[in-house]
Amino acid sequence: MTALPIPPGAAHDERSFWTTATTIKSWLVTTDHKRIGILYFVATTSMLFLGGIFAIIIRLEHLTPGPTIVSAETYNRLFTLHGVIMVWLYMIPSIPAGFGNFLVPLQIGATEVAFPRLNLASFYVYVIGAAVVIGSLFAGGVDTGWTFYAPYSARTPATVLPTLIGIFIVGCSTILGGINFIVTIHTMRLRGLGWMRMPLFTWTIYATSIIQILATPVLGIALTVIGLDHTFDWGLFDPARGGDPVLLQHLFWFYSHPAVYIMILPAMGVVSEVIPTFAHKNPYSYRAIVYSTLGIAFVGFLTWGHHMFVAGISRFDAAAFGLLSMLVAIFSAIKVFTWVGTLFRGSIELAVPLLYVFSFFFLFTFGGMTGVAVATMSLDVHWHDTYFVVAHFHFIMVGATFTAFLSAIHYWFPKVTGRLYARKPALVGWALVTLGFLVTFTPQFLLGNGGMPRRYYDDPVGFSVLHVISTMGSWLLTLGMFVVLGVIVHGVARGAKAGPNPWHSRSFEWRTASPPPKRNFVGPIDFNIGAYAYDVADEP
Amino acid sequence: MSPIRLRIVVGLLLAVLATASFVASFGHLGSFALTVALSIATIKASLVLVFFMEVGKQSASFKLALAAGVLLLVTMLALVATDVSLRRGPSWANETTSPRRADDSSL
Amino acid sequence: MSADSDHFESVAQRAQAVRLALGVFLASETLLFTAILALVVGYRATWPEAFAFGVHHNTKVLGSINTVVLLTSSTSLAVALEMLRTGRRRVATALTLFTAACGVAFLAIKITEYEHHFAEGIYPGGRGAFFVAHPIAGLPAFWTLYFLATGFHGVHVLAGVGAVGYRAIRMPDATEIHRFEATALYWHFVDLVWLFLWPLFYLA
Repeated sequence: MTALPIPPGAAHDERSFWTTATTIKSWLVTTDHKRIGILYFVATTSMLFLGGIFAIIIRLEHLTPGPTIVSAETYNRLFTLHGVIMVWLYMIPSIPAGFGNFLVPLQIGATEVAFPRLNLASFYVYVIGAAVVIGSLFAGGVDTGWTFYAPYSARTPATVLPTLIGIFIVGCSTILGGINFIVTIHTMRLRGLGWMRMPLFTWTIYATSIIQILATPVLGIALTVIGLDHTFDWGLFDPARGGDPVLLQHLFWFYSHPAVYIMILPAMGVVSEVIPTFAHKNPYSYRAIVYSTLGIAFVGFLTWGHHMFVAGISRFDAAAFGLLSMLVAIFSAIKVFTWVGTLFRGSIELAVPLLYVFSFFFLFTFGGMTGVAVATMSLDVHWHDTYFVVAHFHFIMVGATFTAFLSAIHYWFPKVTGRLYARKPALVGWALVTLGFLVTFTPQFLLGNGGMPRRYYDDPVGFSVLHVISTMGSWLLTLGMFVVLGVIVHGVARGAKAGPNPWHSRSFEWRTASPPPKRNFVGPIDFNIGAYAYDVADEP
Repeated sequence: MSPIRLRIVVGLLLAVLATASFVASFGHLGSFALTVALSIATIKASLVLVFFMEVGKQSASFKLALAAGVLLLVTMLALVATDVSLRRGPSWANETTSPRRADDSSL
Repeated sequence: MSADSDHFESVAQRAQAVRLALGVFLASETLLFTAILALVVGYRATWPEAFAFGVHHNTKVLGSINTVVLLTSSTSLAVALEMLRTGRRRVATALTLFTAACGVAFLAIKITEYEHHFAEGIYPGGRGAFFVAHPIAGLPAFWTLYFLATGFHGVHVLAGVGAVGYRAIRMPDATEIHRFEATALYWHFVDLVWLFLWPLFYLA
């Protein structure tokens, strides 16, 4: 039997990164990637709950036709801020900056990222940007939708500028973080650890970082010109002065489509780690997952016009974007089939992280296929700006990404905290979240297909039943999220001690203590046995 | 040629090309004028990239990063150009405001 | 090695990391100006007469002098790097300071150009007497884009003056030469961008 190289005594290392310094100041000026990851995790998860509050109110408004609890003006601001907060303050940074920061150096056998102080700076830039966005709430918020389309974004009486500035600042954090990860993965890998032996989660952080640094600047320009138009009446998209609102949409979507791959690729990375661990089997094809990851990142830049099919773009562009959009689905399908192939004939353990992955499979497939559906131009003419699109992207954003986020929490919980969560309440949380999600968003496909427009304050006659069901689902989903929160808090406070590798995973982050020491690994690091070498028997 | 002399020569070459571009802009080249100006700009840019930024001597990943940026530059400009120039009519703003007729089959 | 970089195994690894970081950063910056260029391409295609008119009325001489200023500054910085590599630190410092001074000159000329535009009644947003006198469709778009593009570029020049100036004061030694290379890469990039803005707004 070949033993996995875990240092002796690593199980309960007294000097974990938590205990080396315990003052608040030590956390605020830390350059330890693990602590920065936790700081990001706490910050972004708080934003998740803030954005969730807006979602609850939106759904409450739809309990009855006509006014229910807010005015139409407020409703517009609610869905705008819900989108802004969820996309930029939660979904984009959450898995990469939270889990990515914690795990990537561990997964490549490094002690730190390439630029630790830049890493800390990136976090504070994020905090400042988030504070500005939240501050803009008190200035009355924005009512343009998170897409800030011209010319309304220039003409609206709402105070757009603070929100734009806040998002711009957060974007800078994204770019700095992306540079750090790319350089880290290129230059800080353990000697002898080639690209094609890296854990798959790190590959997805790499691809995500490439998208981040290339796409975000375009958003910066889009936000800047909207701000200039609104604040100084530059009229760049004012038709009366020769402006073309569709050009703004080109800029916005050139970023925002790759942005959705920033959100989903890390989630896919989580899935690629959880499945081999709980199937106790190596991936069906490591290369297929790597190449499809890079493929999604590349092709994702070529498809932005499918958000503009009915905006008035040329027929040539519409055809080009429609065709290119289909290519992305191929890579996603390769991943799904590879994951299923990994599970096939595996020795499956129904751990909570894997259950979340099963939810992911179901919801991602539905969400992805409805994505192919709306990318079909002739169908999109009917569905554009209806609840069908809303349901599609929530299936991917919540059904897939958020589910993977919860899987990641449960999977790496022992690694970060050194403790185990309670399984039964975690199961309840999983069931409530999955069920709540389905009840919330499945009716929205039917609403949209039936013609219910999105961003509408009022519900036309005949849509009420579906809206009520959807709202009730949102309560179930919220309950599930609070159960999960309770599981985490309880686990941190009173969970049973976990060993270095409670899941018997082969991946590299499990080859050190849980929680890891400050410098990540004690003694010489041996990654000769691969991250997915499940043919090697574990040492009990 | 010593590295220093090389850089000075490249600098002089850049000045010559800039002057040529300046002079050419006074000629009546019509729609050809932009092509000429941008072509000279591309040559100058290549000189800066190769001899000043020493792109050839950088790592493969550095070159890959720049190539990715340039590739996306081309992609974005191309698809925006094909949108604007191939829309119905000479300019969307010049179209009539009358609603599209039911038998108008163009998109 | 200093304590803040003891996670690197060697100077060579750190140098490689810094250079790659610049390459990635410049790729990002390329996309920043790509977005502005996309607007230029879109509006040029929509309003060819307005753009031709705007180009014709731009401050071509001043803009062209600025081109020579930036090209000179790039040359001096490239020579400075070679001087540093061969140990001639004093000359390198002088040339680096000269580069920064060129950047300041560029900005001064740019401000002069802006003052000229304002004097002619050309303001962003199509406001000003110039647009009343020349009611050409799309002309506001040309000038507003001009201010946007040269404004963003000018901010980058200003940041570059700061970076180059700082580098001149803190000239690195032979083991840290990658820091100088990084600064130089940024400055050359700023020059590159101008090489394309100049023809688009001044020449054709």
